[in-house]
Amino acid sequence: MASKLKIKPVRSLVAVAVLLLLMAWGQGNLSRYYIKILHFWGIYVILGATLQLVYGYTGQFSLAHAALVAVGAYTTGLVTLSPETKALSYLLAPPVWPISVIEWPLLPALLLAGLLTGLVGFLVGAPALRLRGDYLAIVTLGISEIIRLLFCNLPSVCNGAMGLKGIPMRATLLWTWTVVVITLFVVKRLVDSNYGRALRAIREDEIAAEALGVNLFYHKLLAFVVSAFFVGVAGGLMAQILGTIDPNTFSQVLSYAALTIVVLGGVRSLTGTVIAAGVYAISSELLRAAEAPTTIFGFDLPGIPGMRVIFFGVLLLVIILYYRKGLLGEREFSWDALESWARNLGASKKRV
Amino acid sequence: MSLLEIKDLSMHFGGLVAVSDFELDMEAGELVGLIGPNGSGKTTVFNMLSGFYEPTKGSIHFDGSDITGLRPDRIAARGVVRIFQNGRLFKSMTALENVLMGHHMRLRSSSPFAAVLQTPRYLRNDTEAREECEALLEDLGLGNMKDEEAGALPFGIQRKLEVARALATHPKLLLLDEPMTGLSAEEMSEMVDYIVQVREGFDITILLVEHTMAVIMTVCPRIVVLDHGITIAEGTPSEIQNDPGVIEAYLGVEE
Repeated sequence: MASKLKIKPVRSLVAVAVLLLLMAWGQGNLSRYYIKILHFWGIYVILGATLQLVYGYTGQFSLAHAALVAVGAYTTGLVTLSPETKALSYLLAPPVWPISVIEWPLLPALLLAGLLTGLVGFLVGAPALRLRGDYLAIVTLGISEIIRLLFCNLPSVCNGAMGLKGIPMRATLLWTWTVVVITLFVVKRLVDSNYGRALRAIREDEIAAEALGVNLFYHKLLAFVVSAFFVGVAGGLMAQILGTIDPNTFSQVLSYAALTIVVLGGVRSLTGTVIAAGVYAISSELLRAAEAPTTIFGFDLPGIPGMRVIFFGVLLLVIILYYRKGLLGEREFSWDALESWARNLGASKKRV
Repeated sequence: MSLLEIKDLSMHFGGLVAVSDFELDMEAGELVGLIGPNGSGKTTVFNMLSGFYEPTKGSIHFDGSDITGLRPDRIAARGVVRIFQNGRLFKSMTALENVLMGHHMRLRSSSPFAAVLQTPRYLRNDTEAREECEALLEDLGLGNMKDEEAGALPFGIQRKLEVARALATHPKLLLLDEPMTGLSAEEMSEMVDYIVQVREGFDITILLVEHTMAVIMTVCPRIVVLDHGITIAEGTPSEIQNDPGVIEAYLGVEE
């Protein structure tokens, strides 16, 4: 028994090490196209897993992810851009102090992105989480739009609608996937703890939870802020991957992407989230074809930008209407399940 | 001094007076029954006691401090915990997890950070909580179903489990809102034994709202009768049974 308890974390650590080694290898050996897909797979895992925490486990339907990503991306972009680049690219108004002089390495920039986004998450969550269900969704959607418009209209802070260009692209696959691993670890540990139990209780029956002494506001805000922190770091990574960001990079589509991934993978399944994020990242690349002009049966079709979004919207509807459990339902990957599956496979082979 | 002192407690919804000048003193260890016809304001009194309604007027003192209008979780933290009329278990959780939820607020000592890092102290607290809740289920005769999904348990067991969950908060005063609703005659007599067992075994004060007269009359040494939000009688079961006002409230006046 004691040896078995020790094997499990070792196996997981080995798996994580192999994953990160693969990513480090991929950084040097894959083409930029595939590296970008892998980056976005990772980003989508973070967005999905954090939405699982807020929506899947706690039952709070938030659409604030896009704005939180933006906060993280802008923070990282602003502190990693060199002062010279900023002085050159701020055409509308010169950058304000301390943005005009700051230049940080990647790690503190990402941490600052997480902390600032966590703070924004707190400021958004504190009033919004008093509402429930559809009302919460609408308010977070509204706040999300307000934040995006703020970025548009603050030329001296974030260069307004022109956005930031020439952000140093220092995030490697190893960076992105290390953050993915940390995010999954924290979310998993949290939902399996007594706090996670309280979050599930709130989702099932707020009134009963409150009657048992659960401070609803504190627990909802806890989920929201922890989620915002990691969304912010994901946003920071995005800035480093894209190199160029403007307010339209963070349209509401990102919030729906997170939602689609959660629903597709299976609400409350982190394993499902990882798979669904991959499906989303890869298919959104493949679907670029749908946005390019094509000739079908002799008809010339112009490219329609935004076709991908329509596809994912329809996908979301179909899953909700006909396949509510998503890919994995509430199931999670476990070593034990894998072991017994492998054993069964071996056994059936022997029989043949 | 009394454990619970309710003075002039009133609840108005617009022009409707749901409860008017309700008064009740309860000593520690007492078991009091609160009865009355449908719509007489019993559940409203419970909602005020547990913090879900803020009283229009009046005060509730519990264990020496004023708890009037506090938030439900604060009131629960002070030791007043309620059971809901139609049952509010966390149905997709196991029986043990439900009871652990009752224990949750007493685990405050460990922070979310400790939970994520699984510090030795967090793990120790967690194990202790689990052991305590398992022991509680065992004591109450529910030990063999701790890993069953709460929603899949028979209704009678669900009601018992809800009481067990409330007990895990270590309450001083337990508010039971019609625990017999929907139970068969057999389950009902089991529930009566259960309530007696809980009261004796856990040294607890209970305020019981119930429709089933037979239950109230056998279990409660003291009974308060509400009608249209007004207390119309208070006394021992035999006093209540012979009170003309009570008979009138329940059966109407003879022409």
